[in-house]
Amino acid sequence: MIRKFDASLCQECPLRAAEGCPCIESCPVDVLRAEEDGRPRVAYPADCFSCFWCQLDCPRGAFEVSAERELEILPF
Amino acid sequence: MAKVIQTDVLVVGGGLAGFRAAMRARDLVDRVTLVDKANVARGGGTVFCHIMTAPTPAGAHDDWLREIVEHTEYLSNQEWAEAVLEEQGDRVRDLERWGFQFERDENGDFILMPPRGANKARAIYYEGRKFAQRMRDVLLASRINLIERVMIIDLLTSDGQHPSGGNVIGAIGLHTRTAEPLVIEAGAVVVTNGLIAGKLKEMDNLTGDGQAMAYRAGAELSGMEFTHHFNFALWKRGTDAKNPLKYLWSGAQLQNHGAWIVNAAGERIMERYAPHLMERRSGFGLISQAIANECLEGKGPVYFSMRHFPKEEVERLRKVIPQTMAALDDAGIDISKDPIEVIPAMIHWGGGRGGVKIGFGGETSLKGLFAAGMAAQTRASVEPMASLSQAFCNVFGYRAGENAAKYAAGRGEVTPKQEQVEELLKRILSPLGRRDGLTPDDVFLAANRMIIPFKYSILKSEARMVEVLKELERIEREELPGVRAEHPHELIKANEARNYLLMCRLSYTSALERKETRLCHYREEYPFRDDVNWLKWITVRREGEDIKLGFEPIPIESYKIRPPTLTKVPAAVQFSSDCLKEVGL
Repeated sequence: MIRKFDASLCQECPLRAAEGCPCIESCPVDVLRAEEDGRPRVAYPADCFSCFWCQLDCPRGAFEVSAERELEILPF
Repeated sequence: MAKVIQTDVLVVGGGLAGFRAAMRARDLVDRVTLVDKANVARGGGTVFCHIMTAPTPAGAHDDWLREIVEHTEYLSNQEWAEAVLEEQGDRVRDLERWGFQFERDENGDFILMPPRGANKARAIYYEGRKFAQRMRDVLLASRINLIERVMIIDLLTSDGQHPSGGNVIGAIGLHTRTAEPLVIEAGAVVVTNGLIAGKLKEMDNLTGDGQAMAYRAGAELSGMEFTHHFNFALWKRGTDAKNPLKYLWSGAQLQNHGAWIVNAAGERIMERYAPHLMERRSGFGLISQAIANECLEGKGPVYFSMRHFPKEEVERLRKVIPQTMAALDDAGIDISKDPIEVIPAMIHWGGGRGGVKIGFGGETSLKGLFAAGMAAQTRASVEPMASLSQAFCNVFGYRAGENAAKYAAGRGEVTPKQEQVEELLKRILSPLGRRDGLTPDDVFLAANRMIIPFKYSILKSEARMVEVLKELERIEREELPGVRAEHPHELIKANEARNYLLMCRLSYTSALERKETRLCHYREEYPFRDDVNWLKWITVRREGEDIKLGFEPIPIESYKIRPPTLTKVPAAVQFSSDCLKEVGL
């Protein structure tokens, strides 16, 4: 899950201006969508599967992902 | 009207196999289109990988082949396994020529590691993220028409029928963000997208789409009972009394590097189950069963311990598996000090182990349809030693691309039947706008209730599998047709849920037939590997709405490597009756 997202950090993002937000493009399950100004919005937070790409790809450190996930069904 | 594009070869899936298929096809035909559900540089399974089998050194071929075949308990097409070993060197050299980087030492030699399952065989390292990024860059530079964020859902056929008696002539899909339909008319189609996950918070966008579309169109699938395998799930135990376990990450990548597996008493458990193999050389299935048995006998929790890893190995892992390490950092776990609790779980299961049945050139039972990568059954090795799946993708992706291009080149224009396009689109879009019915997440949950618990997954029996199938069929019959999607994002998930349910049903239908224990397939009534009766493949094919089963013997007598005698071999793990009571049996 995305534990923290600080959209204010995106303001100065050099990549967003040059080629678009890399974090939106990194997300394999379309959790992140673009606002009108190209900044990311966490549109479907429940679908995040903690792949960490947004955290690892963001040049501004705007994302903090947590690995700890609740599973509704356990093996036993 | 849906947007329509034409291409000579359509490749579905942008992992390593899809990349290889597209690149090889592009050598031979002008118009190659690759469609990926996400982003080639970040989606799919390839970006999670960090090792592939090394080019075979001179003189090592026979030893490596023996390890591959023995590791997969003789369920191996040895001709294919040899092809992987013989062709991997050339295919790795292609990659290097395109600028892919593998880890090398100060002398410029590959840094080699023995992957899980190997004693003599070796693998080479790379950074999955850089590797996948390079794939994307090379595809674009090679003038391959790259279409991302489109989920290809069904195949188009020359007779307009599913299952088809004709040829595959294209495919139809939806944009994952807008649900805009896309029709692709193609001289040949290569499906490579075959990993399967049930939205259990790991690789959640991989739902067996390649196998599902191939099956619906009438292609034969093989080995589906082996897709249902376990991952070494890592857990963090918290203080929440109601739900103390939090899932962290798949532990397979760490285990590949020789993590010790210890129980609560600090004993290395593989000494009991497979002292001649230990952690390094035991297979996924055996290790999963051993951990489950320890837990059920009250000797758990069981841990992965990496405290013996050399410092430089930990440093390299930080580089090549940054996601795993970020997850562990976040959970406050330092692998050089802390063991990590492990419980096998069906976090994601395997394409590749079972999938579309292919021939040596990637051709399927449907003309015009080719398969490679995890959408195809990797008959080279059904439960591969770590790193071999990537080598299979590398070698057989190339083969499938070559043959698909040759097929497409000899074919005139193809014209899909408008009625088929409309009929498929109607079904694909039908959940949109429904107000009642289950959500796609509800469907995943309902299916997962039947396939996650140990008694249905790690430890199968006829009665329990019949119970699972009955419920899966009920969900498909009663719930799936009424699933609702409020927006395009959910519509994609609704189509994924349909594919996932089909994968579950094909897997259990096949598992019910296999009356023995082999690899990850454990049958309570048959706790032995049966080389007399079960050195064979189980195939499934659609006949109307029914599943038609088939059996295909493995020509073991004609192979170089054979079991010492064809007999029944007791499973290394024997679950006791006390254990069975633990899981309510």
